Amino acid sequence: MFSSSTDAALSSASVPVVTGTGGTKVRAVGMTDEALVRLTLGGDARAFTTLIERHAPACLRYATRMLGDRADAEDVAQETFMRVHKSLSHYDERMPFRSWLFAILVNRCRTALSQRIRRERRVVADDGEMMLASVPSTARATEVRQDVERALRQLVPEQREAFLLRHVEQLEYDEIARLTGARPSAVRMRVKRACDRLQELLRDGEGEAA
Amino acid sequence: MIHDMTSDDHFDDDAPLTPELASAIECLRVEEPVSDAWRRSLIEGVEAARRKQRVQKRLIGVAGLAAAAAVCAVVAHPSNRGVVSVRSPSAVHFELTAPQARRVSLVGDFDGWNPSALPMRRGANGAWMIDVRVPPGRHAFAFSVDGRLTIDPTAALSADDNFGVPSSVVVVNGAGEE
Repeated sequence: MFSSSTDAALSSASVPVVTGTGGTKVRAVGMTDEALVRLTLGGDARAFTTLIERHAPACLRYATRMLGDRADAEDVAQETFMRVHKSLSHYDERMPFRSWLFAILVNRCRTALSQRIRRERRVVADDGEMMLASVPSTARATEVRQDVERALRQLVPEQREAFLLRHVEQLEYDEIARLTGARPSAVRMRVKRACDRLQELLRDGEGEAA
Repeated sequence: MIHDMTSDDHFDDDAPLTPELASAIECLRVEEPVSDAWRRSLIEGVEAARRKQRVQKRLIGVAGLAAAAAVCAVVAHPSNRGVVSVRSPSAVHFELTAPQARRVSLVGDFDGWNPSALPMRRGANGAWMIDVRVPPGRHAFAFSVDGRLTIDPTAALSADDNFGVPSSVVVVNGAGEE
């Protein structure tokens, strides 16, 4: 299944190299998530590192958009990967690894949101202020982006979750239904309503800071 | 006309988006940067969990073994020398000579293999020591020398290393025995 290479060839490659269960060194390029899971279960620590490298940016993106806070998103993403690692032996390859990962991530985000509700109400009276504080001040964090995230924040969590999974993470409706536990029709409805509401907010400029 | 709301048909999959919303979605699709510190922290956490899992498997393997006699052994670096002796029926003196070490701790099944639970005190001539009361029985242990678990390959008794954690074994007799 995997192509083997010599150590010399591998050492010059910039791509991740993992060691197969039989001791054969292989490149992780092109290797499926499921193959990396099998290697991890076989004791190869670097295979899991490759999975982290592959999926962490999307996990951080989803968690940041969902929670509206980069630090919370980092915590949640870390917890997610730790849980994934702990439960790896229970992973069923009939489900794409990314879906399984996101199922855990979505649940962690829900938990984090519910735990934060009290703190959020107490500390942040002005939603706009919170979003400004949560967006990293990098060149990428433009004013437009902040407006969009502020509008996103105004969606109810169920709609925000469905919208992000569908339009940002680009998962299929059936997949979203499986990992959120909602009926496909409910997911479609949430996405539709989220789109309508976002368009309304963006059109009216209600996502902009006061 | 009756609208059938019992099916999903009334929701268009990916109905055309307004340019404004399409632009917003593109904006939201920009991936979040992954900091080196976050990645490092996560990988270290995973490694720690992996070690813990190995140890738990080991503990299952050694559980239930009968006690017999006190055993010495264990060393970290080739320049290090260690000794273990039973001072009382349940107090064990662990000593490791590791002159180059900056931090040494005792880890074993009696402290959950937690490297911060039993830090050893530094004595003269590079000796590190600690006295620990452990219940009678067979205990797998090792020294964490500057964060590395190591063992003398010539150790008289060592737990098998199927799970990758080097360790030695001390067997503590029951009360009144030594």
